[in-house]
Amino acid sequence: MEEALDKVLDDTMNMPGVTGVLCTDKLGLCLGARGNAPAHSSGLIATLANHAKALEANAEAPPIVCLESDSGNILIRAKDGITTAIYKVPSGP
Amino acid sequence: MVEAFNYSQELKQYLHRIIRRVDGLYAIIVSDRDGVPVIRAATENVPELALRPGFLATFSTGTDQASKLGLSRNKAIVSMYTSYQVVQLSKLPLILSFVASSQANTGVLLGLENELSDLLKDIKAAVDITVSQ
Amino acid sequence: MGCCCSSEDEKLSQDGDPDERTRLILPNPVSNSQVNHSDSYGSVPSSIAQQADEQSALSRILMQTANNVIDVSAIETHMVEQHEYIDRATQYSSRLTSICHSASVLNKLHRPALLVDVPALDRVLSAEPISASDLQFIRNTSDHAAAAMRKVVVTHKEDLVVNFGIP
Repeated sequence: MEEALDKVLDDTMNMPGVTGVLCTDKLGLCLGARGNAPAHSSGLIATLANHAKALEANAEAPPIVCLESDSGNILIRAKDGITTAIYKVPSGP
Repeated sequence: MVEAFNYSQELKQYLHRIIRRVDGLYAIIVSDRDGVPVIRAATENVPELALRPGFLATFSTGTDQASKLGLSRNKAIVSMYTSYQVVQLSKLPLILSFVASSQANTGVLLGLENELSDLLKDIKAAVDITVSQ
Repeated sequence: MGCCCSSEDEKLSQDGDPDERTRLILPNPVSNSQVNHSDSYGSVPSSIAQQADEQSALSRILMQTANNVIDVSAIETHMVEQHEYIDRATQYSSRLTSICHSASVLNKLHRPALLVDVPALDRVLSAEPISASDLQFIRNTSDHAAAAMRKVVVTHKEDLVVNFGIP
């Protein structure tokens, strides 16, 4: 059933600079994780996305959350109930 | 003895801090397999029936039977209701139970297991000796 | 049948017919050697010993199956009575308070703050937040992931409820 999602995760891992990717549903249950994205962090990632959405309730497009650290960035976006997080090293402008 | 009394209080305050931190979490209960509470923290939003030993103890039967499904030992059971959800984890001889709103983040509740593992080790030491008496 | 040289463990009954030597389960070495030993003593004591062995093997199988079967109607729930509940609850709380607490145990509950001072704060805050290509990348990926989840469907392959083939 999850072949299509597995393909998306694997394709994303193959992109340059990506070290991990994770997908979760609205309840924070992990749908798939690759690389250095820990499956048990799915709850926190979903919460972050939900809270960011609450900041601007009337926005048309869902917000993108970016966590910056020395070792890389985590990009989080929720769309249609699925939250995706990409762990990557920042690429140039 | 004053210092000893504070341990229970400290534990409860710690559990209450966690409850405040997680949206929609109403209660955290650490109990034995029959549902008798060892330590618990609850807000007034929690349905009282969910704190009763008869309710919490259903997990013991559930986890025993679930371990027979061919997927090796059962670790956790999440029960979703219309307005509430109950997340229970098997930490033998203890049961760790969370009662929350159905909109609360289940992944975060399951992740609290790691955070509470140190605490549970201390409590297990207290219960083990009592149980064997 | 009736032969003192009993069949080997691994060799199953060739003709397929179960006889008194056919094992229901793989025998453990102890019981097997017992049977071999008693065979040489004559027919009557050996058949009784054999029967006892088979009985215990049968009851073992029965117990194992009963342990593995999920029978919802036969589940016994031990309801804790009021006085026992109160007794145990007070026992637990007194047991908790009597645990010796050094300061380190209580300190474990107070985790250190996650936030630390960052040097060159103005440089960090004025840096480019996120590149346009990264923004586009996460947008595309989350759109693809949402589309992939829409493809998840349940396909009916077998019946959920089956009957055991009891003749």
